[in-house]
Amino acid sequence: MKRFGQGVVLLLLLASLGACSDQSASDRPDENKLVQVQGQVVAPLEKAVLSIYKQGMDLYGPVFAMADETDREGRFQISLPAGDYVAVVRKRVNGLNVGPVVAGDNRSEFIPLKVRDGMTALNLTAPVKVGDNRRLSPQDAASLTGFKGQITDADGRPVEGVRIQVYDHVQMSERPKYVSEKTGPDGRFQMLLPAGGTYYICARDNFGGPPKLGDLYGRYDQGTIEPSALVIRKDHIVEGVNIRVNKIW
Amino acid sequence: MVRLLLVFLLLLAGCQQTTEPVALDELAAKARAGNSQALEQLVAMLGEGGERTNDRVYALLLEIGDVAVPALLSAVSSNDRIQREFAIAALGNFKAKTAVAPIGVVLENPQLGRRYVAAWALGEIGGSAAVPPLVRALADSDEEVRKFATRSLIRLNRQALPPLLEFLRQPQSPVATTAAVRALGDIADPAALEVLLPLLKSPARAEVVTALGKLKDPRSVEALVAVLRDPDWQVRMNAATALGPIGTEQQAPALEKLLEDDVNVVREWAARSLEMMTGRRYTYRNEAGENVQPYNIYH
Repeated sequence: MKRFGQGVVLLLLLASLGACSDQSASDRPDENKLVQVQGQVVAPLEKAVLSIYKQGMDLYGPVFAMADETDREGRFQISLPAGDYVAVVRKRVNGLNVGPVVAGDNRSEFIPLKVRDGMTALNLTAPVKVGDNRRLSPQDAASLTGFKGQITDADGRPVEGVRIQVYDHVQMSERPKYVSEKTGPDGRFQMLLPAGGTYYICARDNFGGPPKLGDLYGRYDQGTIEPSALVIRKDHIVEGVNIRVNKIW
Repeated sequence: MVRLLLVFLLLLAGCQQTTEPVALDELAAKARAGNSQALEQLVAMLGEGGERTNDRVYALLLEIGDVAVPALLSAVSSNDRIQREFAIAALGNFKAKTAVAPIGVVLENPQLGRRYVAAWALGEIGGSAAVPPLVRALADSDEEVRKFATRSLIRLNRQALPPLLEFLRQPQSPVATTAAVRALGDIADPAALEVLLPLLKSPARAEVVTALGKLKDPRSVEALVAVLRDPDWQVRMNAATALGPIGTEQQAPALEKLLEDDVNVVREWAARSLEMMTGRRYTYRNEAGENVQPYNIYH
């Protein structure tokens, strides 16, 4: 009797283990097959772009895949290998597909997306973004903590259309903590920050990833391996933070 | 009459040049096959007149490869600063040893614009012949030239060490001294210690302190502790930063005094380095008056 009981327990255990493994096998995506994902961005929103990130990726960094712009009805379509992703729709007023999403742009929430065999449908809303953490609030602007200077080219002439990117880590490889507006024709800028601290700065004419051949780029440094630290004290504007941008050769 | 005719002919030639479409793909195909005339034509298109195409031509030349070196060499001495800049940059990318001497000439001629690219290219090409003009460029009046020369000497590393040490043994201007000190700091060879320590009394001492920190030589610890009381907050901050990787419990009491410094970043760096030196958590008073731990600046 005792042996019979032990046998039943063992059978039950094996059965439950089998059920578990069945469940995980069915859930495991087959990454060799492409699955079509299609859907609509409603209001509808034309010329918005669906960006796909793999789970664990920096959701503000380079994307895993990007759909073509949505059509007049806000429809999009993209083929993806089966897997677990995060989807987001963005439409920037400046017409670019890279760079920070600022107030006035459209952007959806980050939507977890499981892509499995067969068609996957996805409908999203992308409301207009209000406010911007990366831009200074009126209170921050009143703090008068920051720096100013001028961006010049290889001839020492002012450069228009360049942005200042501010980092708080010396590697400057993560997304910038703050990004300025584009410089005007005189190349001058003033960057106000919410707090004093140690910052690392560069200026460039393009967003996203390391600068490429032909891009204009300049780092605030003195030729050393690490960038120069710009130490900003509370309620001080550091002047003369001038950066020369040169082409990436 | 003859003058008028000449003006007419020149105008006609000018019109022909602007209206004739440039068959870039055809030219590139010929250049790829090693046609020297096509290569020279492409290099000529790098100049000021080709503002809309020179970026594309430059990318084409890089793709074509070092068969373009002879044509590019002839443009190094060009009076057209844009063409010269592109040509020198391409030669740097090709690591063309034959270009070191002519690029060195450009680097040392203060009348020429955009010389930073010459300093950059010499660092890319490398070799012992590239070092002397780069070391001399540390005393250049153009800040951008000094900066790129510093970067290139760091890149050439140990090859640049003896000439840099010799340079600093001679009297130099403050800007030249500072640039050489920065290069020695990033090369980080212990041989630099004997040259750097006496410079702690020079106007470049803030940079010297940083360089000593990069050497990570325990022999400099005493000198770094001495400048923790410097009247210049940048020197105090650099000394606090420098002590982190090489200091020990023994220097901790001296550095702990900086946790009460008037300047926020000095307090912050003191806390960060004390943690490295002792393995204990330290807090400092931030600008809002709160006691906080320093964030990890290296992630």
